[in-house]
Amino acid sequence: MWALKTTNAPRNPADMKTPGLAPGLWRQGYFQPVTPSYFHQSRLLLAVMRGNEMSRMSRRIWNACAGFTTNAWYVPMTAIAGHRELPQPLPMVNREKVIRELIIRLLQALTEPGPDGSVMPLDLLINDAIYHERKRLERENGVVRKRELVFWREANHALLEAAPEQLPALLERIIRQHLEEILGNFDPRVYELSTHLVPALLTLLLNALSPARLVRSLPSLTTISHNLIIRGEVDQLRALSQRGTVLLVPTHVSNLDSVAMGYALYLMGLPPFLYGAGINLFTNSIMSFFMNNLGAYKVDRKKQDRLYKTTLKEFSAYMVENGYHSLFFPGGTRSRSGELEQSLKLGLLGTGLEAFINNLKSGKPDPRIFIVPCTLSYQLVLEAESLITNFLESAGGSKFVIPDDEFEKPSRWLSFFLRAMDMDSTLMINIAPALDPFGNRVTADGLSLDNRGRQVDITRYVLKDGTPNHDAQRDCEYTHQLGEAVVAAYHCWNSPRSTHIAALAMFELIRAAMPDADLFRLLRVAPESSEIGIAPLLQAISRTMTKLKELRDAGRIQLSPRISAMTEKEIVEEALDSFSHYHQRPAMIKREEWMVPRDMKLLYYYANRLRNYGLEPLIRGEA
Amino acid sequence: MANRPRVGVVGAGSWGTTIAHMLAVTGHPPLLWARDRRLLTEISTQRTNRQYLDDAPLHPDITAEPDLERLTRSCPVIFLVVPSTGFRDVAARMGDWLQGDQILIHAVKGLERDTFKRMSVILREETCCRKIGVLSGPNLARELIAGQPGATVIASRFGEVVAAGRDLLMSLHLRIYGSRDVTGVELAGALKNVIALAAGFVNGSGFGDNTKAMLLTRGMVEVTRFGTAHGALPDTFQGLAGMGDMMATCASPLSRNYNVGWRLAKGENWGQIKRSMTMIAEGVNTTRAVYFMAKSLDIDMPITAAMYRLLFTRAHPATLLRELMARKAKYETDPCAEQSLI
Repeated sequence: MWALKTTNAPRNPADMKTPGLAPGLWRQGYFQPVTPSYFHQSRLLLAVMRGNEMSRMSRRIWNACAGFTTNAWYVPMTAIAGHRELPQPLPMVNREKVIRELIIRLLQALTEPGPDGSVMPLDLLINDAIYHERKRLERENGVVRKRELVFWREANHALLEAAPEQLPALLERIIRQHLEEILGNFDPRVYELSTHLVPALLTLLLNALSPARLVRSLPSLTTISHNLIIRGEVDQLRALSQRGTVLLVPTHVSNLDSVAMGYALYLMGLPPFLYGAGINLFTNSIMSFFMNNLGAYKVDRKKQDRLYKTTLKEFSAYMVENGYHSLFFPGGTRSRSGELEQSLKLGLLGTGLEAFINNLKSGKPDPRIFIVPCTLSYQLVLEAESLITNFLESAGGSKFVIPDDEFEKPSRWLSFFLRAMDMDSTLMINIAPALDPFGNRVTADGLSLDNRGRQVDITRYVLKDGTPNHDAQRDCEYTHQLGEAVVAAYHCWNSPRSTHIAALAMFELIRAAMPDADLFRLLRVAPESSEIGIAPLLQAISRTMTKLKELRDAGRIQLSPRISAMTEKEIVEEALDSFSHYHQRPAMIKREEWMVPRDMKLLYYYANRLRNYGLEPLIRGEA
Repeated sequence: MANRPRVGVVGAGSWGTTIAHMLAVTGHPPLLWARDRRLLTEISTQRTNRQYLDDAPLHPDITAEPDLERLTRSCPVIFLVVPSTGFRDVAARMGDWLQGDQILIHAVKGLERDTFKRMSVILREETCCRKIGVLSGPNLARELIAGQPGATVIASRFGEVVAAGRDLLMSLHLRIYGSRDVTGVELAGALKNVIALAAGFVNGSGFGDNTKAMLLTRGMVEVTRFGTAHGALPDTFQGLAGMGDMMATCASPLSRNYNVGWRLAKGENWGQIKRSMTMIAEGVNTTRAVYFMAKSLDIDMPITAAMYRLLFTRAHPATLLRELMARKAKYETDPCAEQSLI
C-alpha cells in the first residue's frame, strides 16, 4: 500500500483526467470517484495559486493579517471547498450553546471526585486558578496580559467577598473566560473549510513572505504534494471516519506538523479535523490568522491550574462526542531530543474514552471512537537546533516553552521551504492501524479485536452493574494502556530517513571511540579529534540496514522501498546533501576519506530518532 | 442461590483448592475446575484433595466444575491457580469465552518457561480482559486451610480488582492488602522461590542460622535489584509478597522449593528429584528464567547464578560456595562507596 511520490500537476489539459492535486494518490485508488465539479474546482484552486493570481492572493493575505475585511478571502475559497462531499455532515454548533453546555458539564465534573478520590472545594479550585494565572502573567507582557491581569484581580476580590452560594457564579465566570480563549474565533462554519484552506496555506505563506521572489524562484510550485508521502492504513482511516469519530494522534517534532497533517487529511480525502493548537502558534502573526480559522482552538500549555486543564479536556470530549474528528499531539510538546515519544499526556488521550462512555450513556447510534496513531518523519526538521539545545539545557530540569525559535522567524521559514523543495520526499506520514479507546486493534468495520484476533465487545469494559458508567481510576488505567499501545505503534510505524541512519551511525562510532566521555563531553568534542573513516561508517550503516530490514520484516519499523533499495554510500550522500542544505552548520561533512562532525548536537538530535531499537551495540561492532 | 453469580477457581492444586476453600468459608461458594476428572470427583464426593492436601477436610460449598467453558462464562470473578507451565494454554482456552468486564486474579508464583513472561502479561496476551490482578504472599496452603491467621497481597492497576478480591477473601483468618505494583508482586513471588531453593540447600548442607540469614538478606538484595530493573517498586520487596513470603518459604520444610534445595544438598541431582515429585517446584523454572534474564540485562545476581549452575550444570556445591564467599569486598548498600573501595 504505497502512495508514491506525486509528480507536479500536469500542464497539458488533456492529461488532466484526474483531480490535479495528487494524481499519484488518485492512481493508487486513494480518492473515490468524484463529481465533475470537483475537477473544475480543483482546477480553480490551481489557477488561484498560479501565475498572476498568486500575487493577488498574497495581497489578500496581507490585508487579512493587517485586520482588514476577510470577505474577499472567503468567497473564492468557499467555492473551492464546496467540491467535497462530507461523509458525515457535521452538526452546526452554535458557539454560545457550546459554552453554556460546557459550563453545565464542567460545574458537574469539577464537583465529582478525581482519580485519587478527592474533591476540591470550589473556593480552593478558584483560588488555585487565580494563583496560577497571576503567577503566569507576572512573567509575561503585552496588552493581553494587562486585560487578563485586571480580570484575575477582580476575580480575586470577588472570591474574598463571596458568600458560599456565590461561588458557582464566580466559577462560571472563570470557566467562561477560559472557554472564550480556547474557542478563539473558532466558528464551525469556517471549520468546515479548514482542510481545504490548508493546501493553499503554505504556498500563500511563502507568497506573503516574498511574492516576487517566490514567483521567480519557484515558477512550478503549485502544491507541496510532491514533497509529501503518505503510507499505511489510509483506507482503514477513511472507512473508520464514516463509522465513528476519529482521534488522530501523530508524533510531534515540528510546528509544521499541524499544517502538514491538515494537508495530508485533504490528500487522503478525509473530512476536516478539529485541532487544539498550542497558543504559541498564534504568536506568529501569519499563522495566527490561519489558526483562528482552521478548525483550531487554542491550548495554552503554560496554564497549569486544574480548572483550565479540566475545561480543555471537557471541551475536547464534547466536540468528539458531537462527531468532530479531532487531531492532537499526545506527546504534549514537540519532542525536544528528537526521540519518538516514550510517554504521553494521558489527559487529552482520555477524552476518547470519556466521549465513548458518554455516547453509550446517551444511546448514540454509533458511539464508537477510533484512535489512529501516525508518525511524521522529516528528512530535516525546521527547528532542530533550538529543540536539541533546549533539551540539553533542560536535561534534568523541567522543559519550558521556547520563546524565540526558528519558527518565529519568517526568514528561516522561507529558507527552509526553498531548500526543502529541492529535496526528495521531505516529509513521510505513516498512518498506523486504528485502536479503540482501550488500545485494542480495530478492523476497517470498526470492530475491536483482542491480541488473538477475537472480536471484543468493548462496551463490557465500562459496565458497572450492567450500565455504562464513568470510573475515574478505572478509566485512567484504560487510557494508560491505550497510551502504551500508541507508543508501541509509533515505534512500529516510524520511518527512518537517511539523515537519521547516517547520524546514528556517525554518533555511535564517535561515542565508541571515546568510551569514557559522558554525553555532555561528547557533544563538546573538537571535530578534528573525532573524524571517522568513510569505510567504517559505511560498514556500520550496512550493519544497521541489515538489522533495520529484520525489524521491518518483524513489523517493528517501516522502511520505505526507496531507502531499502539505497546502498550505504547513497544513504551517506543523501544525508550529507540534506545536512548541507538548511541548518546553519551541517551536522557532518565529508573531507577526503573522512567524515567530520560539524555539529554534534544536530547529529545527536537526528540519531535519537532511532533509539530503542537496540541498534547502538550493532553499530559499535559489539555482538 | 442457583442464579447468583459464583466465583470461579481454575486449578485444583494445593493452593487453588485452598483458595476455593477460603472463598467458601467467607460465604462465596466457588466453582472449582481442574483438568483431572478423578480429582474433581474426589473433591465433590469425599471433600478431600489427598494428592495435594492430605486429609484436610474441604468446605462442602465448593462445587467441582468439570466444564471450563461453563465456569468461564458464568463467573464474574475468576482465580487462576494453574502452574506456570500450563498457564498459557488454560488462559488461551478461557480467552475464547471471556468478556471484558470479568475480573481475573492469578495466584501463580512463576514465570513462563521460554519467554520469561509474567502471568499477568500472558493474561493480557491471551484474553480480552483488562481487569487483571495477582494474589501473592506468605501463604502456605496447609496452614491456611487449617484456619491459622495469615495475610496476603492483591495487586492490580485497577482499584476494582483489589476491592473485589478483598470483598471475596478477607476474613478473620486472612487479611488482604492492596497494591498497585503488579510487576513487583509477581516478581517478588516468583523470585523468592529461587532463594527458597538456596535456603533449603544451605540447611541441607548442615549450615546454621548465620549462613541462612546471610543468604536470605543478600538474596533479597539481588531480587530487589532484579525487580527494580523491571520497573517494580523496591518497597514491594520489603512487603508481604517479598520479605514476608521469603520468610515463610525459607523457614518451612512444607515448601516444595525449600525441599528441592534440601535434597540437592543431600547429594541428589535435579533429574532424580524431578522424577519423585508429585507437585511442581516453580523455583526451578524460575531459576532458569531469571538467570538468563539477568544475564541479558547485565544485572548482578550471584546467588541465582549459583543455583542455576547447581541445578542445570551439576556444578560442585563446595566450588559454588567458595566462589560466592570469595567475591570482591563491597559496601552493603552504597554503590558509590563500592567504587572507592577498589
